[in-house]
Amino acid sequence: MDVIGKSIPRIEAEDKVTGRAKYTADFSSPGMLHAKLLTSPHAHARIVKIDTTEAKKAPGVRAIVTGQDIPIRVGPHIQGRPLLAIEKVRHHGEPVALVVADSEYQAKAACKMIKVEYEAIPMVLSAADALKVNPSLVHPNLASYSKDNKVHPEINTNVANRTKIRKGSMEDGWKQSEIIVESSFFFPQSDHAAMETRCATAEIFPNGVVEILTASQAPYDVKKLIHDHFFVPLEKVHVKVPLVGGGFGGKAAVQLELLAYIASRAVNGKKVKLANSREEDFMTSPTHIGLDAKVKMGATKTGQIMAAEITFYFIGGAYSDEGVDISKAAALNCTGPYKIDNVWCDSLCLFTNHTYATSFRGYAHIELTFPIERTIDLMAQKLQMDPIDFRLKNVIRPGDTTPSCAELTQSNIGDVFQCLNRAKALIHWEEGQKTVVENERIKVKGVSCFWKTSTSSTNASSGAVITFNKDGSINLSCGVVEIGQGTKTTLAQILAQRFKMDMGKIHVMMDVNTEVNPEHWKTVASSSTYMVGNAVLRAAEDAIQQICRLASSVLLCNPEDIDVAEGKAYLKSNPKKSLYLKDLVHGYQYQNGNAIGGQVIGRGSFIMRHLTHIDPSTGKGIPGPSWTVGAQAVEVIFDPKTYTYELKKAVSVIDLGKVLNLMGATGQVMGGMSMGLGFATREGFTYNGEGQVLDTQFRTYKMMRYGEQPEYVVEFIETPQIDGPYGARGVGEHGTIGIAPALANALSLAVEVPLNKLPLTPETIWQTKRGESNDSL
Amino acid sequence: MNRQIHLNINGEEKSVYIRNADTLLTALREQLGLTGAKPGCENGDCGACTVIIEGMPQKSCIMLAVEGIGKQITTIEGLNNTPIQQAFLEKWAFQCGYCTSGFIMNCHALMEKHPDAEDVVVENWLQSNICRCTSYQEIKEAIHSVLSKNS
Amino acid sequence: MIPYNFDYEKPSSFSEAISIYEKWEVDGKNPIYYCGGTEIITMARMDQIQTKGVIDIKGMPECLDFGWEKDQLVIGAAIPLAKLEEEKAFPLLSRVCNRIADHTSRCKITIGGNITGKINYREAVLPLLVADATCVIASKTGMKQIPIHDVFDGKVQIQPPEFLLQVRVERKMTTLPYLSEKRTKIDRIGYPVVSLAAIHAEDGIRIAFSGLCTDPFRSLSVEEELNNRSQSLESKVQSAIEKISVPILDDHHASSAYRKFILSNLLVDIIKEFDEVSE
Ligand SMILES: Cc1cc2nc3c(=O)[nH]c(=O)nc-3n(C[C@H](O)[C@H](O)[C@H](O)COP(=O)(O)OP(=O)(O)OC[C@H]3O[C@@H](n4cnc5c(N)ncnc54)[C@H](O)[C@@H]3O)c2cc1C
Ligand code: FES
Ligand code: FES
Repeated sequence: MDVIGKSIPRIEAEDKVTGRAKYTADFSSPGMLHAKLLTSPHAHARIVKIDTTEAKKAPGVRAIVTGQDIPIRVGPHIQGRPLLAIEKVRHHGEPVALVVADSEYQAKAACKMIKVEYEAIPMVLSAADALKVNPSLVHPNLASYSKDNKVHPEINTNVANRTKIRKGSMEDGWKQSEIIVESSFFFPQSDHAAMETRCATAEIFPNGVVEILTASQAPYDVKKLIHDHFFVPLEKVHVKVPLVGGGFGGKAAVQLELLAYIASRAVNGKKVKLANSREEDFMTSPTHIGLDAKVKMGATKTGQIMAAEITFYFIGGAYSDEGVDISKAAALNCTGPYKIDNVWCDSLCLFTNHTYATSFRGYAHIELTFPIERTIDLMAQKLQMDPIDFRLKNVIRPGDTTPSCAELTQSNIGDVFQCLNRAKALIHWEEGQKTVVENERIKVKGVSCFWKTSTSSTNASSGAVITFNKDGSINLSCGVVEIGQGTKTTLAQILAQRFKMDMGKIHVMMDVNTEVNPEHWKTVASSSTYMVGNAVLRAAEDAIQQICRLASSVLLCNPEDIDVAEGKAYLKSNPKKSLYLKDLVHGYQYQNGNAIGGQVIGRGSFIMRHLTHIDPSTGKGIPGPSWTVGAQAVEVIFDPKTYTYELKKAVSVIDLGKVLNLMGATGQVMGGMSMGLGFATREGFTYNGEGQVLDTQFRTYKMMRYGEQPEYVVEFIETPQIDGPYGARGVGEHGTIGIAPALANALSLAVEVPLNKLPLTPETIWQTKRGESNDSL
Repeated sequence: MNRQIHLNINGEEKSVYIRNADTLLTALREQLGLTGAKPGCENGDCGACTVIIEGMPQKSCIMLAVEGIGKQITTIEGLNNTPIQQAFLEKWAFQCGYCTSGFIMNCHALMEKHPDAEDVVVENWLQSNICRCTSYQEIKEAIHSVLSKNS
Repeated sequence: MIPYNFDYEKPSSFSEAISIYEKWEVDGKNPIYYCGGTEIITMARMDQIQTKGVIDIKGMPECLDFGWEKDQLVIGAAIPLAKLEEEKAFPLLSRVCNRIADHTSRCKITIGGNITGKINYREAVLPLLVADATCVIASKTGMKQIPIHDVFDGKVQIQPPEFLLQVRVERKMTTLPYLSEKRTKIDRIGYPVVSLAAIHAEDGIRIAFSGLCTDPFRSLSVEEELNNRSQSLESKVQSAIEKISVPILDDHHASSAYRKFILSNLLVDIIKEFDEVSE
């Protein structure tokens, strides 16, 4: 009856292979109206005039809304983003006006009839632009925005947030360092590029109820924001999320939902749908953050890292959204999984005239890992040490502390040492890191370690409710969104395991509806299994207690004498004496008709514990409940003549505490690696001189395609996390994190120059080799 | 503006009200409720909207609905328990499922046309679709499992 | 989704198509011939083309012709690239088509649309240029045959209401040794950073390029350098590149320096390979 660890197929699988699975944009109803956005062609410009007269007369148009009509500013940490541009536009693709019409094409046609007059403002298109003396300011009114007290924007600059880490003594660190390496790193903004573009519908009923249907990872945030900004009582905001076609963090940001609400409000509450085109999904909705970084690292001649000085300049785009928090998380974990006693880090999130950034798979860790793991390789090279030996010598272990001085224990950190050794074996490191193969091509291998904590709100919480059907089968209700990560299947497994019941008897409500499902913080940070898994276990416990209590009065014993399994409650001392759950969970009825008990309803909840706020001057604090660790390696064959390369093999070994669903976890990691390879090899926005995004279609925004993938090898180490459900840690994001540096480490070896910029297209490698460096700082 | 046309979809004659400028994808989704074909780019780049027309895969976003008149159109809703659907289930060849209909339709057309396709042919065909969630290794296993069964 | 509507006709003869065109032009509909439609749909949805009248030319037999007529290969304008790729009547064309867009898109993109389209790459024209193909053009007075070099100016220039019905290639051109290569920013799928097609005819190498400059081209002076027997391989290639009279593209797909780098590599390979064949 063990289901934990088994590769139980995802419970919504049949719907997905038959085309019957429904996503937000698949729902429509007669009479539904459509909204479309007019977006800015400019990266930074003052809005002189908006003229909607002609557009209002266009066929089918029911309403037009501009920034003037909604004078509010939103944002999770700093409230600086207008829903529709007010006074000026700050990035190419920013929404300027919204048209509601009978059909989508009419709305789009009318958008073109709106006349907007702009006046250019000097643009901020790089970290260097942002940090200039007397820079052009993206937010001259920064001081007037409301914000939470955990972010530290610097007024009259483009710095949206600065997080400082001051650990140990840099003076001592440098004194003890005999070898020093220093380098800078860069990657541009890129995109989540979930295959489903964002979409939301909104309807406002006469009784004040607001119903939102959305492709969101954060339905409870949507609910809260509609309440906060539009003063709709919380109990009247109902947010529904069907299956989501990929999120990767990009759908945790709330954007279209608020616009759809505005649109509906403008037409007397009628139902309005607002769906992004791919182009809008790329340039109007939030992206993956870009980074300029500098790292200086010192070590002893024997290879002990003594000091690290790290500066991150995150290219956050026009609005701060989660960028400010990402920059913070990057600081708190800036060293990667290495023991370094003396650490100085300044992590800045910068305002620029790019599309604003939000959370992305790996939340700050994919970003920080690239510069750190490249630096580790540079150091190993300078020390003439094998890069794996050098890492093994410095990996972090229980008893050590993180850059934010959080203490690591046997339970809250996995075993990096073991992961790395296993990855080393799987990539056949002993064959040599660099060999020449046929046609003068070069086979090279590179490695990277990583860690990741969830950086959630210190009071993030989840709930779960289980109810029973009359046949004893179970319904689970919770607030996790199914974005493809398979959490709902895993939760069903957790429940099946606890009840020792067949998986087929567990029904998980697939869609999320904030009206009925207990709240879950949001479906991000690979933390759903941990948080909701714990809530589910508690709900199970609660239900089992009720069942045992009821059964004990029938079987004339104490509740402790009873256990449940296989759809029965039985006497532990004599399992033959049992009652069917179906005869208990809706109350027990005696032969004479008397009934006792009642419906069994299991309640469970979970709240993060022991997380603390971060000290603004030193960075001290506890950001997350645990650190998942791992090691990754890639093997590529590089052709020095054409500068092209072939991905041969990619390995991940991750300590996830306990494998709950083997195929599910393996698939998450392989998919993550694929995304990491996309990020490392080809993804990244390019811009013209006007700051316009050039790659707004998959035609030129390149993604990994079938046949380009290497052989993927995934293994897990299981060092249980004591407070995780059955010992499990999160694993949704981790495959992505260390792939880029592993690849860059391999290719740097092949071309014999450091490759510190992504993406690693043949042209950028060729340019670097030729000494053309285009570092923006 | 709208006109009525007849389309043969999944073996059934259907009448549809469309604009001439409507793509087949729009007609399928908005007129016929066949939402298995997905918009991923509406630009011919991603394959999420793939259907089968006269035995060949076609991206329904770069085809006008009127072009479908007189043709045999098959959508994912017209497949029932085919080997490739089973293979996708068995090999875990999807996560979020958004690209899945398109991939399955392309694979299905490939199997019907080249039941013993070699790797290069499979690659040539399947490069037409993008999946963001999986690593493609799972999809490769799925298509290989049905091709070898057939040959 | 296309933000405007249009009339749609699918005539069954070219003369009918021309008269619809003329009528719609008078009516101010800004008519457009529609073949595979991939470019029209994708540009119309971005509002990059405007039309109120679409004339689908896939209904006329000449456009759907595909096969040998005596010693000429006849290819109707509406033949999809996937078919050309699969039926290897003109192997160089099959090979070039195999690298345009992706397979599913090639089931829809036609040769006629590709070589007359607005998107600059028009890679399918490369084999036609090196094979001295003939264009069959539908006009009010009937069909006329014009050598491709006389109507090709970056794209096949035809003044509407005339339009391209077919292209024809001599059999002897389809049997010559050939090579083609395409490089993109990365991996296989994507617009060309450099794409080229070459044959080895009696008079030497003939070669045409796409992705390198704004439009595809074949240049006799480039070929002359490549066929110059008195020069070393490297200097042949160098002087050939110098003979390219239009600027080499410098855009977000690739810098011009990188394009030149790739080009010289490819040219060296091609000459070497042809040398091996002819030895
Ligand atoms: C996913 C994707 C990837 C692509 N990648 C590439 C690539 O790598 N390389 C490349 O070269 N191209 C590429 N393209 C662009 C592609 O070349 C064009 O979309 C296509 O060639 C147009 O062909 P069509 O038959 O669809 O033409 P249509 O859209 O029907 O027509 C295109 C234009 O040509 C005109 N026209 C069509 N037929 C005729 C005719 N017989 N006589 C006169 N005028 C005519 C039309 O009026 C229209 O202006 C790609 C397209 C897609 C969708
Ligand atoms: S939606 Fe048709 S190819 Fe992307
Ligand atoms: S399964 Fe999500 S895009 Fe393929």
